[in-house]
Amino acid sequence: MNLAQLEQLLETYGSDETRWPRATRDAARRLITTNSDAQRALERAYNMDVLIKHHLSENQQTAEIQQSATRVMAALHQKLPQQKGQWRLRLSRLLDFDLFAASPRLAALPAVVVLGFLVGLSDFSHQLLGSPSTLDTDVSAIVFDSDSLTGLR
Amino acid sequence: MDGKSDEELMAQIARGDEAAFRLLTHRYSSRAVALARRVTGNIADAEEVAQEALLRVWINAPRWRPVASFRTWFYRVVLNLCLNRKRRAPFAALEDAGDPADPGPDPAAQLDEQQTGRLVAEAIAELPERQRLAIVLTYNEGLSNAEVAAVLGTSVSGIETLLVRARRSLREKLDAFVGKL
Repeated sequence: MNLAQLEQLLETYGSDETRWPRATRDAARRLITTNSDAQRALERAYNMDVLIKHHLSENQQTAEIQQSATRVMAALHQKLPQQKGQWRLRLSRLLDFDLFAASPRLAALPAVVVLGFLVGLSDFSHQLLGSPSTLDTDVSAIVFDSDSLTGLR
Repeated sequence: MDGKSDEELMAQIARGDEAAFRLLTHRYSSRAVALARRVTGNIADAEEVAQEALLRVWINAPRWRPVASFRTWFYRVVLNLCLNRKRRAPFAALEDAGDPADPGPDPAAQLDEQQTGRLVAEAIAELPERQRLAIVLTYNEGLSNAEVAAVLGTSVSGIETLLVRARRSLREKLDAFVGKL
């Protein structure tokens, strides 16, 4: 790693080496321990990080922010509205079953029922099995025709 | 319950546990207000956004799936609400953020600290919005580049570019103060 690459690393990830990519960490450390310009670059980046963090954390702790946060909490801790999706949770609890994970499989059940109705209402079953009268004839032929069973008439 | 993770609390909130929700709002309300204030530019809007975001946490908790960290999802909700609000209303000037907290009894040091704080605030406020958000989420919330990318809905390399530009810009403006530290 050279100085330009270290500066790029510092601009991308800051001075906190835990944020640096593992692959570059060792090379960056080696450069910093052996090169005084690299040490200065790290020091500059560290000071910049401290300055920004210090400013941002102080702004978050202002009395105004805290008071506002307190008002938000007070408003939210009054009566809360109904949660969305509670019916699924209640049903899951009732069945002691994770409906979220099983929902695609469960959806197959009503789909099969609906498909059954559709097939029943259409003429599709007749086309497959033949007309009811043909069926009756075939069945009675097997049951009542003595030839087929004993060879006697 | 204090030691529980955000995700564990969300599982309890999904079952309607108001105590868990109270704890989560305690953890996140000031962060939400501070973040919203940086985007919307005023405390009243920030307060409304924070309240709305936390209310959405409660309402949608049963449907929330822990595919990403709660923190990332929540900051995304806050930012989306801020951006919606900004689209509706004209932009208010950022960084009426006030002075830093009282640094101590020495008036000269106090003045110096206040001046530095104001300059840092101005430098951050002058950054383009996405660069500013990347800086705030990185430094203030301690998010990784990947988490910031998830919050802002962009790629990690996009966030890296934003951070490089933001840091360069801040260094140009604050180099004199960096030397003082």
